[in-house]
Amino acid sequence: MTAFYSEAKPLIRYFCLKKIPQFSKYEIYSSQDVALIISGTGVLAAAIATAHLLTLYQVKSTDAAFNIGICGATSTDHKHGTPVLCHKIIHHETKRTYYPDILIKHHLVEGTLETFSHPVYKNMVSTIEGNFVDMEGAGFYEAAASFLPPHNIYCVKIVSDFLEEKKLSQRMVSELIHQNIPVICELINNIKLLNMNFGDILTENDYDMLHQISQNLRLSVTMTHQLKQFAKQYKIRYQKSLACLRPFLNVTAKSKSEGKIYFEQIKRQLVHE
Amino acid sequence: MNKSKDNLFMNSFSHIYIEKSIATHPITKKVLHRFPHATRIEVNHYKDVFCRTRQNFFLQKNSRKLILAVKKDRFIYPGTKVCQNFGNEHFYYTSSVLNCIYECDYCYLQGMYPSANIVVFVNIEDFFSELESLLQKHPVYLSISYDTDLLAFENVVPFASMWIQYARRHPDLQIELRTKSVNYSAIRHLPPSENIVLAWTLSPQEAINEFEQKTPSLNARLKCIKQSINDGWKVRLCFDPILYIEKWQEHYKQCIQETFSILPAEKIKDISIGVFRMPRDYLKNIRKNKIDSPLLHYPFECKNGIYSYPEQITRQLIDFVYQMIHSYVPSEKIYL
Ligand code: SF4
Repeated sequence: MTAFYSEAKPLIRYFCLKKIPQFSKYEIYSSQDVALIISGTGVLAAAIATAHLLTLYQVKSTDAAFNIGICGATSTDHKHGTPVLCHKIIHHETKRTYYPDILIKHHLVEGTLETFSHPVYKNMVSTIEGNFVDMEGAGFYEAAASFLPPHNIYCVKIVSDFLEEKKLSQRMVSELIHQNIPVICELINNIKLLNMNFGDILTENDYDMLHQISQNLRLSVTMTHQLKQFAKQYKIRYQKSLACLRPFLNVTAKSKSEGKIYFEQIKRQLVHE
Repeated sequence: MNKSKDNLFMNSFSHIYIEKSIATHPITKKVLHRFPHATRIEVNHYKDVFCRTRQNFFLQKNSRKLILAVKKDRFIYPGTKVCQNFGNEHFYYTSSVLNCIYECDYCYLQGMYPSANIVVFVNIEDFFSELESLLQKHPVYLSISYDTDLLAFENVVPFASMWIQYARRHPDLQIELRTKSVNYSAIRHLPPSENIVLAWTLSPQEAINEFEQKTPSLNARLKCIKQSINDGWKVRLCFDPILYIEKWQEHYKQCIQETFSILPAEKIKDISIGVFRMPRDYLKNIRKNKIDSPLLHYPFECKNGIYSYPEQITRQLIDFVYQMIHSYVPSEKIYL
């Protein structure tokens, strides 16, 4: 998620994203495995857009969400163009705080982001708790946290100003994001690796087969659930495919009690190999 | 993953979350001094980090963070029925640290806590004062290394030493410090005391290799135990959990033989034996995310909300291990 088109533009180019036709007011761009939404300014807009995108794409817990954009810095410790990975996000108004899980190595600076519902200038520094300020991060995080685990929600902000009143041109915003694409991509690739190890041990084919067997044998809901459990345990314990169940695809039970007999056979096979 | 785990994950304790209210507590300072390069993040309440929804315990294990917090309410809890009380009437446990640096496959903490991060309640003085009032009422038997391995963690926070020193001043208190670590050197400078039991969990080396990641070898544990016995400490051995693994008879036989070839049986205070068991909900939670553990995906049977091996297997395991141990120590020293 980005707030503006100028933030999105370098990402759209880099990931070769295509605009998709939408009935909602949001512009969405996507490719095979990346989708980007432009939220507009503000916490609420960010939350709605994030929730919309994650719902639209029916995200799984192994997907990751990013808010990429520019931010202001409260001190000059980090220079203009520094990429920041936020390890704490404060919603200034509600004082709610969010903590993404930073498990993987990265080459970004870490810091606390504070999200305001209005622009922030130097004369307000005494009211700011965070090292960096923006107007979307907290909304994005709150919405994403309803879908995803904390190791798959990332707020990446590029320092664009030090709370001066002058406005940055759209071209300069795009340039700041563009310069940081390598470091952002490295982060994304590592997150992909992190998520690769996770998933369901049963494949779609396994589920199809188990479903078919359950229908053929007229198994109850509980028995079907147990069948899946036994199948999972079998694959984990014996590190084998479910090929041993294939013969049951050709069996049809005439009654529930006959199905139960077959079920016991399957159970024996899966539990004791 | 083509990238090795070490290349992908940050070091453990790369981040330390600190509750605002204990920022200047002496234990906080000690921990921060121990990890000068850790990223420090201020939090209002430890649960804001520890209890976030949808955390993945198994991923977090690769890069555990530290959370320094203050415990506000109860400090000492009555023991539950799944714990061995060793014949003590007033059996309690306490958890000044939540979670453990080891990664045993069978550990119930993986299903009990929402996070693999380690919480340290720095206000140990409040634990002591609650215990003080309890001790006014009756003697107390207290397990102090309950939801963690306190001795293994001693180099981060010296709670084991502090508890031992406290117990020395309170003869009505019996404490058990259970561990798999060989960090005995961290408490060796303290004189042994009658009311402190050092309890070591022992497993066959094959089980350690396979299911007790990051823990010291059996041999190293035994050498460490021997040293503590020689120094005059009371020692308990725990063959718990006994696991139904391939060639289990062979492995447990070897393990027990090795144990008593190194340790003088007559100097062991007592021995506890138990098979793998885990509350139903915890096992359910673990199985959801941990898909690579044949041990935990064994078709256990559930009895009164606790999963364990079927009765017949449990009996075989217990009988075998009991008989083996009984050939070295009398039955009154063996707790089931
Ligand atoms: S040593 Fe104990 S507490 Fe630590 S992981 Fe192993 S079983 Fe769990």
